[in-house]
Amino acid sequence: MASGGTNPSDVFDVRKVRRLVELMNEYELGEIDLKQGDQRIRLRKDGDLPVYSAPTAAAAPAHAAPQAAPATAGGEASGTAPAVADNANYITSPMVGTFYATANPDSPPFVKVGDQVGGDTVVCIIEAMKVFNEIAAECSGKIAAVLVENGDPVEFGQKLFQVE
Amino acid sequence: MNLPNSICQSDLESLLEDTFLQSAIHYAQTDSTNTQAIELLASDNSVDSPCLVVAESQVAGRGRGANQWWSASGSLTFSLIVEFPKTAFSVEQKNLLPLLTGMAILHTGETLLPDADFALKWPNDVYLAGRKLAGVLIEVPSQSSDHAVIGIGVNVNNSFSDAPEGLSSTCISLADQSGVQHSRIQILRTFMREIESLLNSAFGSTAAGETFLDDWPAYCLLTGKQVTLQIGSTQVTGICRGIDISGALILETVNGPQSFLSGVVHSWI
Repeated sequence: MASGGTNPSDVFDVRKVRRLVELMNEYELGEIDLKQGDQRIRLRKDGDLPVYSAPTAAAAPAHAAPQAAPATAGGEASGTAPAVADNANYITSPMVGTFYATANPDSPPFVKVGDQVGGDTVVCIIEAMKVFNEIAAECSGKIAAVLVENGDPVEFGQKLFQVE
Repeated sequence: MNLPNSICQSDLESLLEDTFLQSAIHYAQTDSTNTQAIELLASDNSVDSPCLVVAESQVAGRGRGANQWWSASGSLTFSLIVEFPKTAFSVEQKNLLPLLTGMAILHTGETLLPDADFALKWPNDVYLAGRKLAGVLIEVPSQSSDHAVIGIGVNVNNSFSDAPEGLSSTCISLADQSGVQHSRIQILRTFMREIESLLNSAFGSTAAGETFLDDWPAYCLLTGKQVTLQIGSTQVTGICRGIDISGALILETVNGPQSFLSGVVHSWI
């Protein structure tokens, strides 16, 4: 299931992927390529395109062969890190957890379609390990779509809102 | 109103002298100490942390989702504002906060009742003799994401013999177990020392976080039991195999071992 449950020994464990992304940022690495048995994960920064690796990787069955690599702006394969090629902006989840659209069940949603948001606007809460993290938009624009339901499990990097 | 065993100004001053607390605020009554702490952070980003916000009583104590904390007279409800270390503080480290907070409460209880049967229910509830003794709710405001507000409710001197139906069979206080009243300020003092030690071991320069994670399984209420976890609209059932190094709950399901960072423990047998 793609609901936050992963095999602890799986190379595609989303926490390992997230840690890899953190290491890439920390040491300004352009690419990481790992193999384990018949599994492979390759994370590659490509220009300004964001790397969305965890959702796809976490959903991969343990025995899966390496996936066909989609073409990127650089024209090279990028393993399990498909890049978003459209021009839309998205607010993505910074962590694995549960998505809450409201502060509590009786409250209205933080934001809804059509709302203007700024960088500091709180758009949702992501809960992990019973730590409730307020998530700010960190971009400006109008909410064009809410892509997850209240109470849904979300993965690192998963698109939560489309902003235009 | 001065309740017996109520917390006074001199108690707070002694806490500031004896523990790692840098500031403390006391309310006779408030909606929720977490709400007050978050408002304090929003209004004053230079709040001296660790900061204690403690209330004699809460009228709107919060738990997960729609849950409310039943704040009866004699219980101890407070929030602790802590600041994360400046050096690269990862989500993984933040996820350890609930585990070490529960452990600090448990150790505090053990100093009072060394022979009692304490346990931890993932990720941070504290149980005594099979019933819930304390709950924790941690919030990270977006405007102060380098801080966490750790909200804690401990049943100290409130007896559950007169609690609402449904609570009396599932909850317990220290006084219910021991038959005597306990000093809430002494409990606060012990807890602050315990959590300071655990924070240092998990996040300090010595970085010996494994130590408390190594101790955690011995207190796990769920290990070996069949646990049903509610994740959104989905339920997952499996035999609990403890926690992994990230603090995630491991369930042995029909699909093999799976680890979960989120979800509500629905039931266990």
